[in-house]
Formats: sequence, structure tokens, C-alpha cells
Amino acid sequence: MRAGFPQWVVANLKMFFRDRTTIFWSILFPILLMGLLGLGFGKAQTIDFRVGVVDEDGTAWSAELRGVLDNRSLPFTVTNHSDAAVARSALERGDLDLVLVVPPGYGDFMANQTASRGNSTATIALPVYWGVSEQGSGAVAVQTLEKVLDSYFRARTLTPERLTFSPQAVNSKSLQYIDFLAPGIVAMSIMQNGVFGLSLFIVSAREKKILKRLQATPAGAAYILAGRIVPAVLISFIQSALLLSIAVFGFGVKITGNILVLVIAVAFGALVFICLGFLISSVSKSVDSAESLTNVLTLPMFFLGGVFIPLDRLPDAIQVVAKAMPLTYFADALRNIMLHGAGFAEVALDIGVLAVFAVVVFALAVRLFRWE
Amino acid sequence: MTEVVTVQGLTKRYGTLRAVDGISFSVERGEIFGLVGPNGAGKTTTWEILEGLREPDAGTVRVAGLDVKRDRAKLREIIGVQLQATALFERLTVTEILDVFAGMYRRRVPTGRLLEMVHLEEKADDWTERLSGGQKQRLAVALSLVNDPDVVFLDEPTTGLDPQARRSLWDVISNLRKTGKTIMLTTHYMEEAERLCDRVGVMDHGHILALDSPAQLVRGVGQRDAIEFAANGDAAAFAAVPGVEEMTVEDGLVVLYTRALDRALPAVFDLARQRGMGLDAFRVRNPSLEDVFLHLTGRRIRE
Repeated sequence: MRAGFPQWVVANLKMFFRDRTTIFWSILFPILLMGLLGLGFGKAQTIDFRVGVVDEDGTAWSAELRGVLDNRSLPFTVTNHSDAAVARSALERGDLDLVLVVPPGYGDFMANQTASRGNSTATIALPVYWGVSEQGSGAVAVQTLEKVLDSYFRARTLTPERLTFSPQAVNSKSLQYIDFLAPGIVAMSIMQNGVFGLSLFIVSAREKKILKRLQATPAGAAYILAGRIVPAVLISFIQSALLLSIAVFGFGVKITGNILVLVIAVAFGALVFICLGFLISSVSKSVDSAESLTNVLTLPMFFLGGVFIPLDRLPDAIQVVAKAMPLTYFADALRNIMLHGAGFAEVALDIGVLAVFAVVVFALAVRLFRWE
Repeated sequence: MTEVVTVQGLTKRYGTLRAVDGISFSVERGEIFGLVGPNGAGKTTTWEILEGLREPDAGTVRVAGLDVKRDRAKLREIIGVQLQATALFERLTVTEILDVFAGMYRRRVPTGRLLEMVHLEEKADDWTERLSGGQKQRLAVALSLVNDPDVVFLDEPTTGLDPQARRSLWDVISNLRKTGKTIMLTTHYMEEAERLCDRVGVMDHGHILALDSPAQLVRGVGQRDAIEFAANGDAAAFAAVPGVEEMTVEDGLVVLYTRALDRALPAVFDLARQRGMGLDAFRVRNPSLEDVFLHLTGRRIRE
């Protein structure tokens, strides 16, 4: 790299901070959004009970039970867990409202009950763990679960009394909407900054023939682009730091994960969206078309990428679409690190997807790049 | 004298249009070499090929001993470029933008020295968006000098400037001559070419029609004075005025060439009076490059 590279990076940073419009959209808008949504809906509770089922029995009977719970008409969002301890720690973290363990022997018990038409006197107890938090939603969840299973057993002409629960209260953290929202807003603003920052810069420089003038220097495309990408990543860190400070000090959000892992995730997320901005600039002929294309790509991510609404609340078809969006993986990674203290290994899949996305998009953008 | 630029049989086509059609010329070290011609003559295309920004379809081009295709990286280190109508980064100061460009080269001229050369010392800390048109063009010229280049390409540096700003830029370019740099200039202002260039190529439709020093080119069309006016009627009769050797009419502007101004002038007035014609925009000029272009193409260069 030539001696002037740091100067070129600093010049790009200066251009960013001297442009009021970008300052508004990259920094102030996300802060306002988080502030308004945080104040308005910050304390709101999630509607469904998140039920974790640990199937230690593994028979057709236990599978049927899971099917009964995982019914759209019920206020349950069911997830399956293989290990009771893991499910319990999810409960403690506030990820689940309830954990139902189906112990070994449940299948035999049910087979026995069915065969004897409810006359067998054997009993079985299903351990249920429920989270005790400020909101007390766990207790309601237990009652709801009891009712659901009661009617299930009646429907199968069994004697529900022989099947009992052994509910155990577990201290759990209460997650509020702001906890969910904060990492999402960070992800979203990094997306906006990366995509817009690079695409509009390149396209307008091409329109004004500044790119052509730069082409006539010995610097080369890599130098020119890197000088823009490095500041964009730095700005993403500044954005994240500002937004997270507001979340932590203004709304009491706790960051449980390792800051270093968070920084790594932010860097990968920033790169993905910078590459996407680069690709947009390579295929756009004018600033207007770059802007429209940017909106077409970012707006769906804005609404469906898991920023405002959890992915599992979306219809299945939409979930498929959401899973093709980089923002979904980025928001997921940030959320897991911040709220659930995920380490690098636990978000490696998310980061891997982001990395692959970045490489593919970058390669495509370089192929299609034009100076004029 | 050493040849710095050698162009042979250079051709560039855009579709079926031959923007540059087999031109050849050479330029020696320290010369100010100009191409004059109207828009679309092929001047910019020629410069961009010499700068390594465009691929020629045929011909060889060497600049400072380098093949512009093969030695592109080396070429860019030693040439300076001012492109026609390039904007600048608006939110950088004059000093910042000079530093950014200088940082892209191995060799660099101190920024203070550049500001001095283009008389922008007082604007050093202003954002470029606050500069006037003339100041922006002077900055563009300064940007072409950041690497102390051997060859400087200026593409219509004064187009769109008011006369005062144009003169100020002419001073800058004249002063460059003293540095021994080879300067390649395009313009469609004949006056500019006459004032600045050692040699001028007259270009039209991709061809160089004539190439010589401005004085020689003018001598080539004869030591004739030109009587020029806008006639509001049929002007054909003026061709027969005593002493008039040649007449051209374009867009109602009549130009009469004569070696006997003393006879021709009164005769023109007499004829106009007889016919009751007004002579608007009347003037008499010494022959200039303007007439060379008119003589070679039958048209005048529109500004």
C-alpha cells in the first residue's frame, strides 16, 4: 500500500462526518427509532409461551404429545431439546417460559393405559419447569399446559388423574421487548450505513467522473475501494457503541456476552452490507437507480430480518424468505451474544453464513465494477 | 530535442463512428502541444487513449518511452491528467484533496508549492464546493501536477469560464512552460491555442487536418485580413466586391478575405448602402486560427 492510504481513509471519514444527511440516517435515525420503540413498547411482553420439550422417551406416544402441543391454535411456541439441563438453562436465561420433560417410560405408560382402557393403576409424573420472573407468565403457562393435556387425555378416554405434573419453579431472567429490539436496531443501522454508504458514494463518484479521474492515478481499484471500506467499518463500530450505550444506560439492557465476540460479529456484519452496497453500485447506472435498488433490498430485511418481530412469529413461507437474508443471521448473532451470552462457537454458523455471503457478493461486485 | 509523445495511425471506433481515424503526430519534450477543433472532433478520445484510460482499435502510442497499453502502471506515475468536466469531492478542502491525490503517487510536490502555482493559497482551507468555476479548474490543474509529472494532459481546461478566469488559467499554464514539462492541451478556443501552444493540430471528424505552429498555420491561409459582418439579406453580391478573394457564409455571418483592405472596405459599405442592408456585428480582423479552421473545413468552431 502506498504512503497516502491513511490520508485517503481519513479523508473519507471526514466526508462522512461532514454530510448531515448521512449522519442523520446512520446515527440519529437508529437512535430515535430505538428510543421511541423502547419507550413505547419496551416493557411489552411476548404473547406466546415459549415451551421447550425434552423428549427422553422417544416413542410414538411422546412424538404424539409433542404434536399436540405444537398446534397453531395454542398459545405455544414449541422447541425441542435433547438435554434437560440445556433446556433448563434456556429457561433461566429467559429464552423459554416453560420446560416439559417427557421421561423414559411415558410410551409404556400410555400403551398400558390404552390397552387397559384407563383401568391400569400405574401413574407417571412429567417434570415441568417454569420460570419465575417479574411478570409471572410462567405460572400462567403451567396452568395452560395442564388444561391442554387434560383435554388430550380425556379425548383419548384415559384417566387424566393418573398423569401428574411435578412443577418446579426456576428463577429466570425476564426479557423485555427492548432487550430483543436493541441488537436488532444495531444490526439494522449497520446494514443501512454499509449499503448506502458504499453504493451512493461509488455511483455518485462515477456519475461525476471522479472515479474516472481516480482511475488515471496509479492507485488502482483496490486502494480506492479499501479507502472507503475501512472507514465504513469504523463507522459501524461507532454506531454500535453509541446505540449499545443508549440501550444499556438508557433502557437497562444487559450485555451478557463477550465484547470481543460482539466486535467480531459487528465487523462481519458490516463487511457483508458494505459488499452488498458495492454490488449495488456495480449494477446501478445512476444515483437514483442505486437508491431504489438499495431500498428494494433493504426494506424487506428491515421488516422481516428479525429486527422488530421474532422470526418464529412469521408465517412459514415468510420465514423461508427471511432465512435468505443476511440481516436475519446478523441480528440473530448479535442477539445471541448480547442476550444469551453466546460465545464464538455458538454464533459461528451465523458468522459463517455472513462470511460466505460477503465473499460471493464481493466477487460478483468486482466482476461487474466499472470506472465510468 | 527528444520525442516524448509518438502517435502513429491511431484509430478508435465507437460502433460505426470513427471517433479517431488514423491520426499520427509526435511531441517533443517541453513543448506545449494543442489539439483544436469542435466538440466531437476526437480530441478527448485521443487524450484518453494517451492517458491509458481507453483502448485504441489500431495504431501505436508511446508516451515518455512507455507503451500505453503494456506499461499502464508506470505511465500513470509520470503523467498528470485533468479530465474535461470532472467534479471534485465536495466536502474536502483544497489542501485535503491535493493531499489525497498526492498520496496516490510515489513522487509528490509539496502542497504549498502547488497552491502557489495555481494561485489558490487563500482557498487552501475552503471546501471545494465553495470554489468558483475558475478556482475549481485551477484546482483540477493543480491535481494534474501533484506528482511532478513529465507530461501533463489538459482537456479543455478553460471551457465554460468567464474571460477573466480564462486569462488567469492561461497564466498558470504559461508558467508551467518554464518547468520544462511537456503539456498536451485541447481547446476549442482558437485564441487560447494561439497564445499558449508551440504547435497546434487542427482536428475535425477524427482527422488532423493541419499541424504546425499557430503562426505558420495562419500564414498558410495567406496574409489576408477578414471583414466580418452579419448580413440581413442576400449576401451573394459581396463576393464580387473589388479586392475580395474569398467569401464564406455561415449562419448569416459573412466573412470576406482580402489583401486590399483599402479598396474592399469602402466597396462593402457602398454595396450595403445601395441595397439598404444593415451590417451588424461588423469587424475587421487580422487572420487567426479561426480562419485556418474555416479555411480547412468551411465551418467555424462553435463555442
